[in-house]
Amino acid sequence: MNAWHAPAVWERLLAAGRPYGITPYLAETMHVLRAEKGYPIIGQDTDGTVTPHDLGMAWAVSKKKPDFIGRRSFSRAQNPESAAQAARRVVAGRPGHPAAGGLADRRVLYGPALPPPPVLMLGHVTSSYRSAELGRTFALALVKAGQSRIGETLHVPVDGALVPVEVTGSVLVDPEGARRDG
Amino acid sequence: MADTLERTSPLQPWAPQFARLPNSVAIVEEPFVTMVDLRVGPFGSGAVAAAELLGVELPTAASTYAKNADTTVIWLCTDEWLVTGTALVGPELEARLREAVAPHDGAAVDVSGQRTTLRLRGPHSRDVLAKGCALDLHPRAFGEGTAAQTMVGQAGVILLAVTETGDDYRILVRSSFARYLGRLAARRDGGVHTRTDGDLMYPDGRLTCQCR
Repeated sequence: MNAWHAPAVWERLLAAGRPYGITPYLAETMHVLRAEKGYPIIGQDTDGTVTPHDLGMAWAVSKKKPDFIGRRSFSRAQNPESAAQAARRVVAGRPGHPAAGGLADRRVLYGPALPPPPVLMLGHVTSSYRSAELGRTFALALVKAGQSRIGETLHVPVDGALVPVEVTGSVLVDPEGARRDG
Repeated sequence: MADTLERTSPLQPWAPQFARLPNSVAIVEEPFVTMVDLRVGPFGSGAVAAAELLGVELPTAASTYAKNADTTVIWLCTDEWLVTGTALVGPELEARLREAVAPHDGAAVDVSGQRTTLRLRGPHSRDVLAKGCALDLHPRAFGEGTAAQTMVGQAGVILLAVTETGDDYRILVRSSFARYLGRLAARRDGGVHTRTDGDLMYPDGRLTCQCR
């Protein structure tokens, strides 16, 4: 297609989709959408210490290849497939706090009160957004043994106060895939 | 569906704003110009083949262009030119040029959608450009036939001097920078006052160039 035709194509696409509620969206929306589905951004939700097991993505690593870079660390005994023993997991929180849209990089702590230092950290928030679909804020966090903490309430410091968050599974929207599959 | 899509040039929505500018700095967009990027050795048989096809010698002096009635060949670097014209559509000119230079290890790519052309004319056009461009634009340094790859404001452009008198220029600007450049060029006019909020206002209070 010629670039000069792009505006006309754009207008027609919008017109054709208007009865179905078509809407353009940009990168920020895509960030929210991917987080609602629990898709990590490598580099934002992970750093060099995060394993595929931590992400719950060990399934994506080929077991047929005889060798690959990272095989030794991938097959360490500390990387159990068992979810309950997982060292860390990406989990989604349910902050429900108006300020919780800006939770990224905040520590995840145990209790509702700040203990005397040194404060023990359970992990940290890697992404946080407000979800229009959910009608509240939510966040992705790396939490120690996160998979076994689903349903637990943890705490995150926001503006000097500790805000309770609920640990949930990492897929917040349509976890059954019913909407995706029609 | 047999109907055809309407073409829109990058600065089409700006035409009314440009039309309001005084003749001392007249700006029009020259839309839908065919542009083909040509790579070929400058002194070999490929350059000869391209020149024969185009009817214009490929200029070998840095920062110059050569032209005939419809075709302009702009020097971009030692083995690269931008060929512009309106007689053929992009894919057609690309195909013909490619056929001519491919046997000589040359290449031609239609890049018509990459840039649009602003024509800047009038006795104050050089003053307008000078405020955003670091080059010496005096005709003795930047006369007819000069084509510089330079910056106007924050936009990278190819700037062509059309006349020997420093009052007629073509600015080839990337489509995504075109609105910025249009706004900048309009703002440089002496009759336009810049408000602190960035909108442009004529002395009589009319707001202009709110189109961004």
